[in-house]
Amino acid sequence: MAFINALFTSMLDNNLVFCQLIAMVTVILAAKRSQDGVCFGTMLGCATAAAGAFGALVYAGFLAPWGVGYLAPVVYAILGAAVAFVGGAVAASRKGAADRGLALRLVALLAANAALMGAALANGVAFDSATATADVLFGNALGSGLGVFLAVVLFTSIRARIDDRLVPHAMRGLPIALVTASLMAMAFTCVAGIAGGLFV
Amino acid sequence: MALNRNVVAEQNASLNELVHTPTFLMVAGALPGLFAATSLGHGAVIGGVCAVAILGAALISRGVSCFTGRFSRVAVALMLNALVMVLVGFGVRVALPVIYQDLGIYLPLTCASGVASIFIAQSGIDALKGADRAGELTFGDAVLAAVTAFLALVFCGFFTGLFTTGQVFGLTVGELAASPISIFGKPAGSLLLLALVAVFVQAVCDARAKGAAADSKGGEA
Repeated sequence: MAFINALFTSMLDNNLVFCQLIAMVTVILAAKRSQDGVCFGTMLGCATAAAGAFGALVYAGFLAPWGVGYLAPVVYAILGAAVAFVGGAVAASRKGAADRGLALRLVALLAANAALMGAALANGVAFDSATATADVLFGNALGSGLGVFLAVVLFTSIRARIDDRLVPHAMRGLPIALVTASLMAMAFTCVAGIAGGLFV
Repeated sequence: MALNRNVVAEQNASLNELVHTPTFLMVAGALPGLFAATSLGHGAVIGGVCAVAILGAALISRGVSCFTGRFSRVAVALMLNALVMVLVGFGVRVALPVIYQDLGIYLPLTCASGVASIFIAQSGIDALKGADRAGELTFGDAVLAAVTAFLALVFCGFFTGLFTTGQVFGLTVGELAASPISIFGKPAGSLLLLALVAVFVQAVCDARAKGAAADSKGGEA
């Protein structure tokens, strides 16, 4: 039950993108290519979940026992890049050389995404609170990944329905994207405390 | 079904145009710290940290391009910038321990966001298409991004604090804090405030472009 509670809390109540405003830039840019929304969301979600899970293991196994928790951001930067590149290399292994190069360039963008580090850092904070179990940490990681996937797909589909020609000139581009994100953040705020609370 | 090539080309051109504007630099620089900018003090501190992260990322990305490959560049830049942010975090912890506690994970997170925004602004969508156009972003652009992000976060922090707690320079406006306007203390309200700042920056850029166009027409006549 703790796993499911943590999963829904991370996915909806504490959504990385719309409730904590982490990795919002990438989501806004990805929305410009609506046809790639599901693919990009899946890649980013998987990378976030994997980085969160491995981050929890590294923090609980090495950083916290050795007393070097302050180095967590540096370790998570390497870990996030490793997760993204290994995942990208495996996914692109059956493609041609040109497609593989393209995929690895996209992976480089994923590696610099704040969501990867955010999920891992949040798990580190949860571990430090001393109430977190393995169920909670892995639920957090998976929920963060699913939340990022949900955010990318929902935002992309809504942004694709906004015709920029009908938007006032001063609001075109980033301002209207931020207003849209604000309304979506309000929608996520409305479910705060409900989704995770269902499984206590 | 594959999309029409013209549609994809139009999307790529639109993205390239978007990421090479001062508005994008400001928004990309300010977004990572927006959640943590809950008062004037918090806004100033997280704004300063974001500015350091952006400038650090700009300097580091130039340095690492000399000795890293195409794919390892981002990973090495991210790691070095994370190291810089750990050191900045130590400084904030010593100088302002209460604000350091409040900022939580947002302080180290700015390193990833700084690298991502500099990387995207440098290469844009061309990075995904195979072209290697790194280096388009000048250091002046990075300074502009850092300064505007700092100012935007101070602005957002001030108004978020005002709408949430009613605090203005030590005075308390109780009526505001008790009203529904306190929703601005939530991420939704912060995003609306940033959208307002983005509209202002975009309007200034448009006015400058129109003025330059009018000047060039006057010169030709």
